[in-house]
Amino acid sequence: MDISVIKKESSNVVTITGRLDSITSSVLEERVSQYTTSPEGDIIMDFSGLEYISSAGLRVLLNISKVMQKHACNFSICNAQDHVREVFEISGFDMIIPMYNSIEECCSRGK
Amino acid sequence: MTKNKNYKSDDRNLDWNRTMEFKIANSSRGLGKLREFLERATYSWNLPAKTLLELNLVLEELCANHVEHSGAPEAGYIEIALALDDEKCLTVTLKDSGPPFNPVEVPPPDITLPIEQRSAGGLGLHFVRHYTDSLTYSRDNNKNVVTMTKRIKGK
Repeated sequence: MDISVIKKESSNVVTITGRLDSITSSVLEERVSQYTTSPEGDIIMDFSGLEYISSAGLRVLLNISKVMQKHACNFSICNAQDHVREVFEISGFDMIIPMYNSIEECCSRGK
Repeated sequence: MTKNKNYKSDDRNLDWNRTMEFKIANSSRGLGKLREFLERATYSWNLPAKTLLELNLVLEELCANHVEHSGAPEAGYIEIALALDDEKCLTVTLKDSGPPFNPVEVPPPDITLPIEQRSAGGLGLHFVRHYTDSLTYSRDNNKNVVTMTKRIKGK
């Protein structure tokens, strides 16, 4: 799994490539913690390169989502591939983490 | 044309062996090996890519559960057997010698709760149920035996 973070307007865009599973989820948790401990902006995750996600990955995303909500910041996901989107739908996570088809759509939300 | 014919006969040879058994260490290192084994099986049996993803998810969730809860992670293995029949039905069997744990009895999570009340607990088995057609459990010779069937769609 590769993670890169770039700043876009007031958001941190986190691009995840590869697999988010029992092995790699703690790496994401640690990498993103600097943007969640006292968040200064929204977090957008770009999942275009994410091939696979399991419940261990969802657990980390749920924690991020809860912390961001506490700080009144947004957390959203864009560009999820079909299989990953299906896992979100089966678990009801598509109802608690907003999902968009592009980064632009993510950024323009609520404006 | 000849090339095509050869390819077909190769394909049939690869399909000939429709059972596969492997074991992974009861550790996160073992979990890392899971995908490698599954890729080998799905490649040689010519299964759809979507089936590999679903099978990977089902087995990761069951094995990760076991690694997390078995208490003695340094000892033991999880034995996994895959068998594909002529009706395109895959039977997957998992055996481990950990303490008794029946995944069939775990209640499904409430996936409609608002975010504050949501937890990731139970989601793994929720995926297992969703992506399999049957799920049974038995305790046999001090081992947990979980058997699943999954119909292969598409091909």
